[in-house]
Amino acid sequence: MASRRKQLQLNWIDLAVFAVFIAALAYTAYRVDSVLKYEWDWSGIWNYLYRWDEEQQRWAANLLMQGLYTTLRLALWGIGLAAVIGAVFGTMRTSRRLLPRMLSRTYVEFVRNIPPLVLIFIFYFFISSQVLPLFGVEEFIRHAGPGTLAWLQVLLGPPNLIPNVVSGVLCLAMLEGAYVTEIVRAGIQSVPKTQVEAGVSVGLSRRQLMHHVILPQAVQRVVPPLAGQFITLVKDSSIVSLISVQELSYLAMETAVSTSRIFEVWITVAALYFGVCFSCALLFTRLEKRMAVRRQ
Amino acid sequence: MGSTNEGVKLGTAAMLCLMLAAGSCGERAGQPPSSASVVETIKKRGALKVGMSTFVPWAMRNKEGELVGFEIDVARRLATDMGVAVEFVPTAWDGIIPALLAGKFDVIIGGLSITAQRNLTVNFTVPYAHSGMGVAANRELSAGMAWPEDYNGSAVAFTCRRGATSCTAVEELFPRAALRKFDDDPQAAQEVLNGNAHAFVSSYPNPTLLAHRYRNKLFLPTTDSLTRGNEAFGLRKGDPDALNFFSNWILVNTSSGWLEDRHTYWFKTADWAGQIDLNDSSEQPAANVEPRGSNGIAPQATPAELD
Amino acid sequence: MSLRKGSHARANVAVEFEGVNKWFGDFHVLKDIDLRVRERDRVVICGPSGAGKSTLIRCVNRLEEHQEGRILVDGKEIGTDPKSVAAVRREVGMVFQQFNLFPHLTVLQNCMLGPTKVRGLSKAEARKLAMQYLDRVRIPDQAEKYPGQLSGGQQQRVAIARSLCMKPRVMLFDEPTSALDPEMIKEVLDVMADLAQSGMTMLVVTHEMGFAKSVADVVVFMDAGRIVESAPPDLFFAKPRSDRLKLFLSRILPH
Repeated sequence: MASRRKQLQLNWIDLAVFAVFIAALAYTAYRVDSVLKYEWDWSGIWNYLYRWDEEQQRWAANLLMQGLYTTLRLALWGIGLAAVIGAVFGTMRTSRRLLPRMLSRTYVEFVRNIPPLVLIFIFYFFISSQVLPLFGVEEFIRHAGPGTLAWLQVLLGPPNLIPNVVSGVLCLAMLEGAYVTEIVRAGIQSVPKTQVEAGVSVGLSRRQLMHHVILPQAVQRVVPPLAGQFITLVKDSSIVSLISVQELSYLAMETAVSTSRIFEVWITVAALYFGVCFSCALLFTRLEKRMAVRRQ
Repeated sequence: MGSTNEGVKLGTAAMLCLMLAAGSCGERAGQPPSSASVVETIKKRGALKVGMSTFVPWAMRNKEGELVGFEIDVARRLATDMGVAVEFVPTAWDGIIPALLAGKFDVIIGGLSITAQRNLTVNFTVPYAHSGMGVAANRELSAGMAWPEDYNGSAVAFTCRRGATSCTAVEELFPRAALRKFDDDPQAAQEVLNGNAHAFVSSYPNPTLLAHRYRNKLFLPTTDSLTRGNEAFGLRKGDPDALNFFSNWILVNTSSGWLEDRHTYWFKTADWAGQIDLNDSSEQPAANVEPRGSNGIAPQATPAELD
Repeated sequence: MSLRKGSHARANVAVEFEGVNKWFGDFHVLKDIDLRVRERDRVVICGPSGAGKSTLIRCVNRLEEHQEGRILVDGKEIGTDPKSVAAVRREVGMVFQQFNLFPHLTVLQNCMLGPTKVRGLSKAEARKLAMQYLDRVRIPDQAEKYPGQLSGGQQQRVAIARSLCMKPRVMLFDEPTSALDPEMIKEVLDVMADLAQSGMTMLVVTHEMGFAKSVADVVVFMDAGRIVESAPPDLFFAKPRSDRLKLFLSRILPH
């Protein structure tokens, strides 16, 4: 067998592939420049990330960064809620009883077989429109004291947009919950049957077995794909721009329309999404390695 | 601005509208209108919630990320007159009517044109603005073409924003021409700038602003308005008090000339251009980008004989 | 030897099979099994693979269900209701071929789980008990490690300690050394021999004939789902009666 050491030098084939790639890139750039009659102007874009606030004499997040923060809030709350949904439905999916299995399966199949766009539209207008007033979210915010509002500001963003963000979180959690359900199901089912045998052999009851043997191991297996799902969620959250949640894509659209700098804005937004998702991916890989070292 | 919506989204939206309207009307059926009126809700809440969508120069984001524009001025003035605060609810255009019916805000002040089809699901006040449609064309592609007859050919391609009145206008006036619909105006304009379509149709002042900004690539084949729209506030059905209140507010502010004054500022001048950081704000003609009578904007090389 | 047998005759019966039959679908895996294991008996079960040895002992703590006959542990029949099954499982320890330690728990936690959750011991009591048995299987210094950090032999000794912490009346061993590297087999067998010395009732499925010779009271030979022969080890190895056992021994024993 060949040496397992990773190659550090490029051979001539690599160089050729590289050259072809560069040529293709240059040609595309040339074509874009000659065909796309577009006056590039990047000068003012940074202002839409951060702007200098004259009144308060400090830098303040402008539309795009506000949008990014909202996107991150959506993703964090969304994955949290989806994890709860996934834990409940995923456990139900492995139940020995038929009804929980059926309920869970129905939910998963609904989400998997209806386009997210359609599902979000329906969910937003029929479910979340009814649920939010029911909990009195808006009333609560209107009558909340300054202390509460400060907390809410950190957790959910500007108070006047909270009902908006909550709708977005509910929609995303409902969508992602189905995928997390499948992750949890796979996690539970991936715990080998021999662990069950070992557990019952020391006399554990069904419940104790689940609690002390199966779930802890399932959780360990679920965390890495869940982290991956979080990254997916950051990207997928752009879909709630459809229901006017003021996240990155929606505000990017508004910025693009207002400034007519459509490509500059969208390229900036692409860079923001990439930056966030790629750093998360790197972080998760590192954490995963660390966890693996601890348990060897 | 927009008029007849088409396609799946509107179908879904209309269906949702009817279902939601049926539901909410049923609840209110037996109650006296005054106590159920949205005017009362607004006063009790102390805030007017306005549904709107970004569209130059109706509502835009300025450099500080704040909303500015014609209808932003209108809504602020309305709220001040009511003695309440104003809250803007930016909403994607396709979903703005369902969102109104679902109670996400009190009123649409979003450049919503009156159409019979829409009027079946929402109530309209009297108009507070009259918009027009203009055309900007690609200099190379449309060279030597006479307006409007040469544009009604199968080799001609128009672009417009999906769901907007501009699309309907093109379909009616130039039935033989191809029509490409885009999600927003910049994309539709870009297609013409790229030379992939002949002309871009949009509400004023867009065509004029673009033809000025890209004066080497675009020109105005005509300075006439293709259409004359009637934009009004949109309200949920079954609320005569609100309809009366808002319509009369518009009447009063039309008579006083305030609405016309604001309309002129936002549509017939480019004084505001610096606010939203349009790059060439200094080069922008200070006033009078209104097509009628502004011959200076029509390019010298205009091949068409203007009617 | 016969003297010891005599003294055992009066001892209580720990495990008893009465006419047990079991099928996996159409496959008749256990055929008319009658076997009596008295307290303090060390029974080694051997035979070719597929003979039903593992299935036989897995029926004792109902990891497998039999369809016909009765299995009694300590005079009580294993029923189908979860309570009686749980009651039997508390009294029967099991050691698996693949160790089956809980990988997310430390060695100590592996040993403490049963005593705290099932026997209701306090953490301190369970820890003391666990350390006592870890000491007995000669790995007290590994208590804080995770199973993944131990060698196969060490893991199997932890598995034995984990079972012993439940203070079982009977210990089942399902090919405990088959998954081990040769140099680790001895350390596990030594622990098992110690355990036998202490008087534990043991049912051991194994191919280690040396262990059978030195430790077992009775060696049982199974083939094709049947108990073909059972005898004290000296007779079993010196004077096999059936041809099948002769063939088996000729293949398995060094010449």
